Amino acid sequence: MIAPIMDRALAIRGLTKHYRSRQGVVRAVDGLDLDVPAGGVFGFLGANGAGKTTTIRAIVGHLKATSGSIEVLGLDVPRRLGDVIDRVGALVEQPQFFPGFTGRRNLALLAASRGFPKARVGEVLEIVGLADRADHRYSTYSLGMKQRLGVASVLLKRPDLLILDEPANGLDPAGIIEMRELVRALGAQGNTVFVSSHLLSEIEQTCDRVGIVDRGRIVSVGRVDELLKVGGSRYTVKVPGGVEARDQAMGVLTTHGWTVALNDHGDAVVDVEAERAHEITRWLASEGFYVNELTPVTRSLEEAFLAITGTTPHTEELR
Amino acid sequence: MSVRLLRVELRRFFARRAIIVSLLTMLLLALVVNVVQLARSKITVVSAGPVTGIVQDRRLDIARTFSGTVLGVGIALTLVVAFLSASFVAADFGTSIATQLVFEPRRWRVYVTKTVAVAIGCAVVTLVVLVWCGLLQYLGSSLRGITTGVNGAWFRNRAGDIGRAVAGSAMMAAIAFAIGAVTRKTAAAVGTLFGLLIALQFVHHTFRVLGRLSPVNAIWAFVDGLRTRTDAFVGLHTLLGALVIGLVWVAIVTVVGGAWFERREIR
Repeated sequence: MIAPIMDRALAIRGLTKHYRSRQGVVRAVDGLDLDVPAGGVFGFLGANGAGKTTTIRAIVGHLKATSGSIEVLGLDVPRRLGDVIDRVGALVEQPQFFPGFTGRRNLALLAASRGFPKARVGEVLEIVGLADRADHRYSTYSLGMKQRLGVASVLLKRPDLLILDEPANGLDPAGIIEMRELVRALGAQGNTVFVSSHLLSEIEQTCDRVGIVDRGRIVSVGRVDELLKVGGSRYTVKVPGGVEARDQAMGVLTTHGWTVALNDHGDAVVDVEAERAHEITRWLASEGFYVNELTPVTRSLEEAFLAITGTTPHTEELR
Repeated sequence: MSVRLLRVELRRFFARRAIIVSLLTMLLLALVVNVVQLARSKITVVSAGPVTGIVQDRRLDIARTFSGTVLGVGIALTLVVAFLSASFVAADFGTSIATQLVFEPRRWRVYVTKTVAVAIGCAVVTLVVLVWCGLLQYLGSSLRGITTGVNGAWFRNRAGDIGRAVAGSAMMAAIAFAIGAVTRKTAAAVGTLFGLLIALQFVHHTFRVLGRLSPVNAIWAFVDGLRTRTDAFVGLHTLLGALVIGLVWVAIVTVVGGAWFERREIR
């Protein structure tokens, strides 16, 4: 008795998880609401400790939420997790396997536990590039290889919904690129890939949509390109005549009410909506400054994140 | 409980090096002991002071000795399998359980299947070791000893002894598994189990009524066939009573361990 695939792969309402500690009650997740549409790659972005892994653990039934509801592919979890589990693949934080067994044996046992064909084990090992080391013991694997094996275990089921918690952890640059391509390919094939990460660049390059979580709550959800526009657009302005002319031009713009700053390259940067960008050239020309470059600034997701959350203390973790 | 999952758990159990090494060690130990006994298997005539011509029959005699072997080794094996069981659950829960639960999230099903798998696995280990001991003794007795008295009735009786030892191991494994499920560490599980043994012995000697309900006493008395451990069952007096006490304890600790596992947060 399995429900049809819904338009939302994941729907979370008011998810709350509190822990008791010696310091008092810790609100790991605090009334989190999230809808993840079916199909494509959805990024779940937040600093370390923002509540990403706790949310994922609640989704896969590894912990019980204090309150709230979760629907996975249209079914309530954890109540009906058993009915939907064959359509959900999840890699939660660090992959965990039996250290004394080979990678292949670990996967074979998992496949056998759900009746998946043995041949699928070889296929997924090929997909993640681990076929050569599949017959070595898991305890001898590097962090990156463990991560690949974890992703292979997710792929075993050919799931409709893949939940990947920090999949780039431990991977070398080449491995990160491969993982990125794999995630994109899975999303393009019609699967829903839910990727949590604190790496803004990964989310920016991999995901169609992103939900930003901060202190256990979703603070923004949308398409990545929409989020990049948060806080308004910016333009770099260059005028001929060196530093002196630049400073005079900045003075003109400031006088007319524009917000102007210098970027890392010493260029003037003006906060202005795209529709009003032409006014910059008009005001400067009226004062005798002729613009030779007016370039829109592409905001990074990191800047968007900081603009949305205003959490500079987390900046170091976001790099 | 799922049969498919049970097969997987049994494969997982028997693929562990700790199980393989322990089993091979026990088989090798039994072989060494039997080789030594084989070398010493003979009739000697000795003198003791003025008395001469005393015949000492030290021949291997499976009909006479194997029953004691089953009882002694069987009780020792209940301790060995308790360790193996606790180490299995600790190794399992300490490593791959989060991944396993992504494939089968129904925790009661997982827990009960694992308990049954461990009980079957430990029972098989016990059976293999005891049958191996029997084969070695039979071989030795045939080659350099005597096999008089080895007949159908003897086989039936010894099969009963082995069956009780196998069942005792299975019960002890299930109890150790439940303790391991709570403690999650092999050392803690084994420490708790042996601490429990000592405490129960104290209870047994101090409060004899409570002692008679001790799971370990019940299991050992069952393995022993009430030959040397009858005092634990004043209230029951029967093998069936010992079995019932053992099984009730298995049921209690399985429910407690399972409930604990069900509520536990997996990290």
